[in-house]
Amino acid sequence: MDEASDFERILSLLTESLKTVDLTFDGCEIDVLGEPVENPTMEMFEQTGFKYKTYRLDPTGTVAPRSYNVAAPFPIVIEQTVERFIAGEPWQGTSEGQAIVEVPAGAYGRLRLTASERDSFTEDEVVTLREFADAVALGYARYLDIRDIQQQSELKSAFFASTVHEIRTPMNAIKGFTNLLLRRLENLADRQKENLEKVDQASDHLLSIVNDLLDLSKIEAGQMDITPGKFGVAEMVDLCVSTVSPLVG
Amino acid sequence: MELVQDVAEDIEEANTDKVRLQQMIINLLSNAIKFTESGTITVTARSEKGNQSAATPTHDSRSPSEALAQEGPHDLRI
Repeated sequence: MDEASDFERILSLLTESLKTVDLTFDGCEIDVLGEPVENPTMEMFEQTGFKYKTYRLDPTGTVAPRSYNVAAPFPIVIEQTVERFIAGEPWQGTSEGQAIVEVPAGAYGRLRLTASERDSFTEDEVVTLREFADAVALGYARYLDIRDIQQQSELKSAFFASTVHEIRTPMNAIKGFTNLLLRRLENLADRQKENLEKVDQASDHLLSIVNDLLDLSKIEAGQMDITPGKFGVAEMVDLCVSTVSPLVG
Repeated sequence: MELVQDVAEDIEEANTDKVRLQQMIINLLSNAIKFTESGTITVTARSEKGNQSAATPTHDSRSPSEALAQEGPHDLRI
């Protein structure tokens, strides 16, 4: 999964939540600027401007990448604004008659509002937008944490399943050759036969534990196959009871 | 300790995964044997009343941990 699709996912969450919050930014367009260059400096800004991936939040709730590698935020920026931008603080300015406000969303990007019919945003609006962007960034951080944990857990499960499978292969050899000895060598001394039978029982036991572990892996992976069929209940109960009855002390 | 079977005579055929059901019952029974000091373990099997589609699996209304935490006889149903 690449970064862009992660970002798009969190952006659709953001759009959803924008609908539920009364931000009263009527007539505004919202852009989310993702992945700015790391540690921007004034020099970098003067030389190249900043490079962004820009996303446009559609009012219908869809998110589309708008453009890549946008240069400077906009041409007319007063110096104080550039400094605030570099420091990762909220700032606002005017460009070509449009009021613009931009707030950082954690380390993940910036939220930018553009309003064509206004000169500026109020202090309260900037605070609200900032709190909102912080909440979204926090949510995104948690999402990334959970995704990492899930990936680690899946890797461990896959490792577990293949290890258990590897154990089963030599177990089958032990079981098979023990049976062969028990069947072929009729002249075994009683003591030897008894010992071999213990080996046989122990490998049966170990094999059943290994098979249970494999079942567990299958259940975790959602790959447990169920094969339905008709059968007599009484016979099955009888079989179960006779299987466990040696355990009754 | 005693292990008793109580299977209804008119019990019908079951239609499910036999191997898995068997596995469940054997696991439950071996746990029951392992954790019972004295008394009787009874395996009961009967058909639920009503037609096949209306028959729903019965279960203990308590959560498994609640059911197992109690002292005295336990009643687990599958």
